[in-house]
Amino acid sequence: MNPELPLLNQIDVASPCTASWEEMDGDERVRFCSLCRLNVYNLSEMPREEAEDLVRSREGRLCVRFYRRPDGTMLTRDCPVGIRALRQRLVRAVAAIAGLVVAMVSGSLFANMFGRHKPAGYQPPASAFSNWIDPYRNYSAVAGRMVFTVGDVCIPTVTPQPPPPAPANNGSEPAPPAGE
Amino acid sequence: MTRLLAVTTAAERLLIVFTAALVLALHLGGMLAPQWLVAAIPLGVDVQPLLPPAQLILLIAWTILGPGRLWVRLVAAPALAVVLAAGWAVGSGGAMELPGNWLVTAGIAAAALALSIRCCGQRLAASRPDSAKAPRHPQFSIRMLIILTTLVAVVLGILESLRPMLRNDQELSMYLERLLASRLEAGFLSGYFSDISIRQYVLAAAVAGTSLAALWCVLRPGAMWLRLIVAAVCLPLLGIYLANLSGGARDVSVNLAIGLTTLAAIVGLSVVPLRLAGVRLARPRRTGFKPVLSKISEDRLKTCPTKDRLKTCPTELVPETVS
Repeated sequence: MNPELPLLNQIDVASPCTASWEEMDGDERVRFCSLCRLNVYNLSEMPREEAEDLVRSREGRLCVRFYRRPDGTMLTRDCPVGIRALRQRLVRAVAAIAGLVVAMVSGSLFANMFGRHKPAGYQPPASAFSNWIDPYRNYSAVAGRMVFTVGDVCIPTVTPQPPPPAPANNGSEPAPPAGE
Repeated sequence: MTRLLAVTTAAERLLIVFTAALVLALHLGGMLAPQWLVAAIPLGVDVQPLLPPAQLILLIAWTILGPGRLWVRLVAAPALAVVLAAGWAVGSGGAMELPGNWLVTAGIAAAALALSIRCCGQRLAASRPDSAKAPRHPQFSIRMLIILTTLVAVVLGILESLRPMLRNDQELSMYLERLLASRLEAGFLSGYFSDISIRQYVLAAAVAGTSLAALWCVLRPGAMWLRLIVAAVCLPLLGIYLANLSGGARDVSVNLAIGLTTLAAIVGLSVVPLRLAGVRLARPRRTGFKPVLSKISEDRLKTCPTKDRLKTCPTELVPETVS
């Protein structure tokens, strides 16, 4: 072990284990592995000093879990970059929640105001779509406007009606001639 | 998704759950709520009839652009469509304000647009928040500018060529006959395209385009405020332009502008929880998760003092780009 290098950066995996962290009982810092009956310590959830103290106190005989960055260094809870990123994400999330609440309140206020004072000629969007596709589908949609019809006049032909049947006659009066 | 939620903070998780519940309430409430309740909610009557096309386009976008295996989504999509149709038939009493054949046309247009997006390599994929970062300043390549202006010019050219037909509300068959009259006998087309007005096609394409534009604005990587501003300007302009093409009055243009913007807002709001959960519409990066395994030579183990031999549990998964 190189004493000049940070202890945590020199930790290596000697005997890889496939036990699932999610299935172990415990919190984010330490969980109990029922397979080995050992406590597994999450070094990445501890500050650097605490993690180093833990490794030193157990003289390396312990089961740990950690996140290693691509450059080989170990992530600890007090990593300044990680804390800054976490803080930024927290601020962003709080700002987003606040923005959502403001948008909902202002949207409902706008909806109330718009519902009371709709502009003249306003149609709901679906009606606007339907009437644009087929303006004469619903006459009420164009009833407010004057619609002029232009084209050749087609006069329906008048067919002669047959004469009504003669009423029943008892023979005292002659029936009037047809056409009168 | 579980992996994504695992890397979020409690506030972020709360935000995701809250917005997802809001979106679900909007869609399910609009579908199943009685009419008196819809009428009691401000703008409820205006928004509710736009939910079926929004849901249909979202379903199509998920089917074509969604993550995972395509065949699973292709099997699931018709079943979901049936569930949606049944929900609307039960909820709204079967009285849909928008014509059914127009909805089908809009669905086909949305599928065509989503397919073209997929052909460009864009997919909906879950990405870790850290890797979803994009350049802070919007960047445009010359190639993208050329493609965009060409597309706009082509669309405007097609719409301008359709202007007389749109103004007179004619059928597509008449347009095709006029287009092809001098070259071939297009009479056989009349039977197929009769009774379908050109306006129906144009509006279906416009609705599909605006909905997918809203999805694009919300789910693309990087800050979305600039895209939202551009969309907020362009979508009403599209409605006004369509009304101008058809020779409609001022109120028609205002109504179309409001309608297209409202539909885009519904689609955009519906995918906000996905954005919060880290889903982005982008070229998928081939990433995998593989356990941290360090190989230590036997010689080193032998020379290592006892106290430095750590028995470790390398259960942490570290993202690693697979080349």
